[in-house]
Amino acid sequence: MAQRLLGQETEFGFAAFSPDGARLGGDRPASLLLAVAGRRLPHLPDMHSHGMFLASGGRFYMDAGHHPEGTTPECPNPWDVVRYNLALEEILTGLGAAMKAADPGIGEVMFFKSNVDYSGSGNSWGCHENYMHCVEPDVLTEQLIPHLASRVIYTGCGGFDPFAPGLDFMLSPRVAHLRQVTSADSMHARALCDTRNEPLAGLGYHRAHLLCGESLCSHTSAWLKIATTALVVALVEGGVRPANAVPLRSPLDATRCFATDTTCRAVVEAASNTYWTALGIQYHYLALAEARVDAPFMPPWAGEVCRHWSAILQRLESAPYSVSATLDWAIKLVLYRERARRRGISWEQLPAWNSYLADLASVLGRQQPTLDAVCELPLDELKRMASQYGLCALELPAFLELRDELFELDTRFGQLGAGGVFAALDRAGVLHHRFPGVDNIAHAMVSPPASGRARVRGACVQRLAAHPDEYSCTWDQIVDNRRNRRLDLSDPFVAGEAWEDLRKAGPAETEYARDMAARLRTLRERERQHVRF
Amino acid sequence: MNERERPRTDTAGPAGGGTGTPDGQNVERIRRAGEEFYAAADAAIKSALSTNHATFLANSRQEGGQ
Repeated sequence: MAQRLLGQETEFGFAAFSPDGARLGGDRPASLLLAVAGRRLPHLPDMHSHGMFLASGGRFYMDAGHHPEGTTPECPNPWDVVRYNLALEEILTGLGAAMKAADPGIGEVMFFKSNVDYSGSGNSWGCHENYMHCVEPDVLTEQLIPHLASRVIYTGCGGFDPFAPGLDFMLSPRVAHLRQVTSADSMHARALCDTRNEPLAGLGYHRAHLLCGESLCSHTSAWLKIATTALVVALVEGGVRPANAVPLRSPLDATRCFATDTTCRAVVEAASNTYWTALGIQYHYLALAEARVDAPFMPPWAGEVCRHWSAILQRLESAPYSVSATLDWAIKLVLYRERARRRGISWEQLPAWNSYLADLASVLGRQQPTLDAVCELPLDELKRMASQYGLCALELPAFLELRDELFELDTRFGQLGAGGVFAALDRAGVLHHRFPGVDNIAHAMVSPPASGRARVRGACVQRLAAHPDEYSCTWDQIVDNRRNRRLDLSDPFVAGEAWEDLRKAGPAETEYARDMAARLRTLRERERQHVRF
Repeated sequence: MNERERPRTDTAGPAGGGTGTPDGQNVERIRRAGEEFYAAADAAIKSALSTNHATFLANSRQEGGQ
């Protein structure tokens, strides 16, 4: 059976507040978080950023927009990817508490497992997946697209379209931020598949880097996202071409269509003049995987993935309600419907409210009308516009209050720590999201996976972290700047440590070592400047 | 349509019971599970949400990432 390596990069929402509740802006919270991480976590410094490689073999750093980002180590199976991601959350929660303890000017630190901002900024941040493979990248991208478009029925985190003036529930709000099918620009032209050629390994390996996924609270959903996609990658590597039967006419439109359909019954057109539901596409990919579970190119856990994949599709097919305590979007849907009902607004009325709000947004010239802005319009005009949709304008304040409440609730749903809504529901025992084998999180916080180069990297971090100034690390190597030697990790499956003495190396390697040492000195100096708070 | 007819093998369901289509035996269990869910949700939301949602959203505004 084929070995595979998988991983995930999670950017977290992050906000720190003073004891009197004022938001702390600028670089200070991020700098303090990094400084606290540097003191508390055994690590080797990251060669290329203000971050660090951890004893798990994973990486922690600050990404664009002051988002703390945790990357799992390269994992041999989907169980480990979910475990190591949960371990990163535990680590981050601990760092938040340590920030408060370290600085009396900090009253509260919040981390959010979410991907969209509801303040009207139109901002998003990512949860990217990585799959090692040996296929021509363009071929893999093409074959993945129908799977990525349709998997939202079980991988969507749920929430609202952040660009809509009202309350447009989506299975996957990240989809509202996708602008292209493929792109190398992960900030301004986000795509289903990123086409940056960054394998982070040698020997002809490639890395599929997917931008369309979301941070998930449900262990089942998180596991399915990684496990099913890894099987599709394996299928394509084995020569199977599943997308050839589902050449979606417009992949982005199809993704949006599936991401806004809570019935999982919406139909999209393929270029072959056939029509497909998301379930239909998923069953098609599943059937191809089921027929090849024992093929040499499939991982040893392919059969187990197929069983769980099949089970979730059956539940979604029989009734989406059947996943309402299991999948993120479905948990949110029942929760938010009930909140709306209690405010006297029926979920079925939302399309009418959304049309009304769209009209108001147009009149007011702002994306999301507020109560203050709406009150500037004559009441008669508000009533006339509302009556077009069978609504009462006097209920507008209640709807706007509901919108803001649900936006906050959606943000708080994935808040890390005991205060998060998902965490509270989980503690109360009313969810059924846990997944057998996703356990031993404490181990994953301090130990690498059992195989692959992350095992070697993690062991090095554990042993060398007492002297972080002497080393610098990246995904495919560790450099010992004092002894002038280098550990090559470009083979993703390297099993042992073989340090290369750069003093015996040729001029190119010596120059490389000098360059790395200079970079490390620069980073250290910057780090010292950053931690002066 | 391309959906396949498949045997139903999964037994987990809403709040832990049923195959998704509530029948007579499951209705009471589902109703109880629903009540427990909403009670837990009430407690969680009461504890989590601020009193001024618009202010919370503005104060916790996030910059763009990747």
